[in-house]
Amino acid sequence: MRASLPRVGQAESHLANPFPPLGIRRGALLLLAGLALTAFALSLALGPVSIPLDEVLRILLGEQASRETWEIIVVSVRLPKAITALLAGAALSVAGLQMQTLFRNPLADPFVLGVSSGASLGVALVVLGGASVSVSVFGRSALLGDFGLASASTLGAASIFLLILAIARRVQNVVTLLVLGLMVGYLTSAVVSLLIYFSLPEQVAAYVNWTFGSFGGVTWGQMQAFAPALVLGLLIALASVKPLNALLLGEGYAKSMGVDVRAARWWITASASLLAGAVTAFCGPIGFLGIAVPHLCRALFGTSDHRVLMPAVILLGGTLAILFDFISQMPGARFVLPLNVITSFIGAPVVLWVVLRRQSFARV
Amino acid sequence: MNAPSVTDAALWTRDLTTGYRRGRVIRVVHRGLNLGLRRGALTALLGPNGAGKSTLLRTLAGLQPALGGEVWIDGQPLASLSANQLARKLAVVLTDRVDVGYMSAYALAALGRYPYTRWDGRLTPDDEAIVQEAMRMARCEALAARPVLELSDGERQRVMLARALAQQTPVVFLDEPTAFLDLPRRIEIMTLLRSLARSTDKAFLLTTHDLELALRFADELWLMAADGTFTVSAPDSPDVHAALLRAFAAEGEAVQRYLRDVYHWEAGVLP
Amino acid sequence: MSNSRVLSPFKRIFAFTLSIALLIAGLASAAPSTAVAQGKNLTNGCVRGYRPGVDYFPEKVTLEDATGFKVEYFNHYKVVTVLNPWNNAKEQFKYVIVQCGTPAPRNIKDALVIEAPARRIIAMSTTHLPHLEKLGLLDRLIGMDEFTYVNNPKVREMIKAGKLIEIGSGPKVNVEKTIVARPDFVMTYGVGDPQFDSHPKLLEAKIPTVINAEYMEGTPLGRSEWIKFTALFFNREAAAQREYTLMKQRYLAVARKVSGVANRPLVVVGTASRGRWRMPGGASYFATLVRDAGGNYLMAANPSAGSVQISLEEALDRGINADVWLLNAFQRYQNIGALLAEEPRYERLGPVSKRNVWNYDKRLNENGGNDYWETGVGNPHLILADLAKIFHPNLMTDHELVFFRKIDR
Repeated sequence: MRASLPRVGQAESHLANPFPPLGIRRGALLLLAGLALTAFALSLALGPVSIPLDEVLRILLGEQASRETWEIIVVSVRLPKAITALLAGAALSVAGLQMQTLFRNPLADPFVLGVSSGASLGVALVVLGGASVSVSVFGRSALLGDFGLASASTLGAASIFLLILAIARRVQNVVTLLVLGLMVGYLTSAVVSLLIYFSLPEQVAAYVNWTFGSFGGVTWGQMQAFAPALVLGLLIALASVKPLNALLLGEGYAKSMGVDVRAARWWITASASLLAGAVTAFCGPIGFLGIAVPHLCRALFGTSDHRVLMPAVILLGGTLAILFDFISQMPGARFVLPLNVITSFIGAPVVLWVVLRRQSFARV
Repeated sequence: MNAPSVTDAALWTRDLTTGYRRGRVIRVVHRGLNLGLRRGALTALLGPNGAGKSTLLRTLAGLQPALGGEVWIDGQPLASLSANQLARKLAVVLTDRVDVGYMSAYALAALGRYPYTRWDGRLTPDDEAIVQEAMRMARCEALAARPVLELSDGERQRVMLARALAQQTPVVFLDEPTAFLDLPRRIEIMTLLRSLARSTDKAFLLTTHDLELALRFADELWLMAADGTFTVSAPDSPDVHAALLRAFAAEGEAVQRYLRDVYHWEAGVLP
Repeated sequence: MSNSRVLSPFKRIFAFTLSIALLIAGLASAAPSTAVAQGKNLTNGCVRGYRPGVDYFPEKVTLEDATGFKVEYFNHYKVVTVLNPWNNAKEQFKYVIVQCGTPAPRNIKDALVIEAPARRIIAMSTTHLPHLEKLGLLDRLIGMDEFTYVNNPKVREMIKAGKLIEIGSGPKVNVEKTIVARPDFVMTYGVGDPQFDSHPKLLEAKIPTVINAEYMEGTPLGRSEWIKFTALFFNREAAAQREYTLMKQRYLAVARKVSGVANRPLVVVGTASRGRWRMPGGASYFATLVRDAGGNYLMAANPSAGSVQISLEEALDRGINADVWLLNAFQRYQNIGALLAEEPRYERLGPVSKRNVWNYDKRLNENGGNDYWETGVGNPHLILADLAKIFHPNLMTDHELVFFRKIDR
């Protein structure tokens, strides 16, 4: 019985040549790239404040615009936000893909290792850590420079990141890592709850606000740390495409094919943690992109080959992130919706669909 | 136990001691093994559970360090080989669950070229030809375009076998290839393995609990007893009966009687 | 004087003493009625010798600006209904305040009965403290939810002297401690969420608990008029009316001063957080204050009575020409540099270049408790005066800022 999934770039197979092509679906990927670029361009052109298209172009080309506010909006608000969304969407999707392959679990997401819990803890300590602490910390924000909240979350994420890496070296079984991530998650939740218990309502509101997630908070100054971290993580992930494919068969087979499983695990974990940690540190916890985009790409391209999936999730993840951000701040809407609400609304049905699709296959 | 001459054996051991270390405790499973895996032959490793079959297999595959002695594979010491070099000498077919999502059978078999491809795993036309030939040898070329998810257990196993063949190694290990299969499929796979051994001149080592099929299809039997003794014997040799009884000596009366009957049946003594 | 028919000296003294005693008793029993007869409520003590038909509350409250509660007076009891306890509330709260010494009415269902004048009260919000102080009732205060954020100096002294208890709030409110303290009632507020509210647990333990919903009022005057609500439980209507009228006059006086200005400065409120800006809606409490103080609120056209979130883009687009920026932020910014360090894009806002940025954190206690939310809520004329001074400094030269502090370089 033949598969009935829609496949992108799949040649028709017939008796003369029963072997399907193994290429990287260049055409489809180019299409996706075009989509990403279009989304990027649209996010610069459209927003809550309506700016004429020709003005946007002029501003991007470096010329003067008719209104000063338009320049500020396009250059200081929309451009960094678009870049952040693109990178963050790509980063989360790649991290999710890596976690799903490493743990051979379709429901794994970038946060299973607990890195984002670390970021939450860092933020909670600063925002909720008692009135006197937050007063002095914010008062001395000159010390933290452009970062402020971002440093706290980065520190938190980085600590867990280092802890995970140290342990990843030593564990026999990859499931140990999973359990570690879970426990870190529980611990940090407990500490955060304790902090909330003893905090003023305004502090709690500020913390909750952070948990809504946002691409709009990354300024050009912060971008200098954000972008390189993500690019590094993405490069490591791209270089891990071959071992990731081998790991699809499990660690036993991977080893027999010549993969240094310990080293591969370390690099994959490092990349995924760096990506998830950096995004959470600068944008807050953003759910569902990491789990849904890999599944979407697998279904759309009809393959589990990471040579195809890796670029695909990068492009689709970036595009969707821009789209979600756009929906949360639609031009003409009276209000702004939290990002995580939008991602969940769309992400949940996708996950459902995927799981149900798998069920239908198993019945064959 | 005579060590076969070097030219015959794709894999051989000298005075091999298998076992494992846990902290300071050393547990020896087998001592002083001198084994040889013949090319072009199908060797079956039999024995009760807990006798040390996996330990031996893992040691021979380089997954576990030997406590003593040497293992040589395709003319080189196992210990001196890098992971990639070893992957060009030894391929495996395991019972591990393979859940590769949307991969086609062809793509799965193509993973066997892993030790030979470049950084991103791209296959050259030569590589593809090798994989296609491997699928033909494993009699699963018709499944090439099908998603792995849709395959039955038997079909999937043939694809994993094709993958191992595509890896182009002189030695292939199969861990319980007849488990989970129904009788016709079990006979099919053993027939296939024996004919492949002959046609490709590879050395096949498989572990199995299927005594009758092992006696009928294997060229050599390695019998592992619970008491640590190890017998190497051809299935039609008169030693086999004694070896079998010894291997399963710890089991009860019913097992002993069964073994005697099977041996007689296979050796053609019983009508 | 012949002594044939007069009483013996002993008997005479006895009779005299007895009549004096009776007179005093008679006067004592008549005293309440005397007060009432003089047209005053009984602010201390109970009625002795209840007489039906007498109006024991000659001094009543009349509401001018508050819409969240109503009072109905009957001869010896009052029925107070809290109409809108919280957002989307599906219930109202009814209290029957009975003059102490008179029988409670029996035909009223679903109401909590409390005797007036109350002698022991626990306050669950610092906003209740100005009411008690103005009505001269601080001596009736026996406890609070927590002491951390109190600014009122007299109350702080009482805390230091150990005269008050702390019972906590929410579902973890210390019920046993409260029962032992025997308050006549606990005054609290609710949001309709059992995870947050204190009154469910207190009422469950049969502790008389009253919901003060002043925060739901949409106007500053309406909110401060709840001093009359508090007064109802103590029969202090006269004092409440007086205080409110005084405060309202002051408020209107300030409003009048600035009502005729030609130039209303454009006012931006709130702060941004990661690309989103939250500020009060156009029909909110704070928007009213800004308007009454002679300012032009950026979001005046917005219909919301709560707060709204707009995108940073929009805020920058509209705020670039603003004149005044009121942070109304919980965080304490030492200077504009600190503000910009947190969000560099603030730089283009008009008030930043005009150096006209303010926050309402001039009066904080050592734990960060802001007096704006304590004294300010009950005295909106002070907030109004502050705002009027910020918007039109030349018109308010004799006022010194109470709650607002300028953020300098």
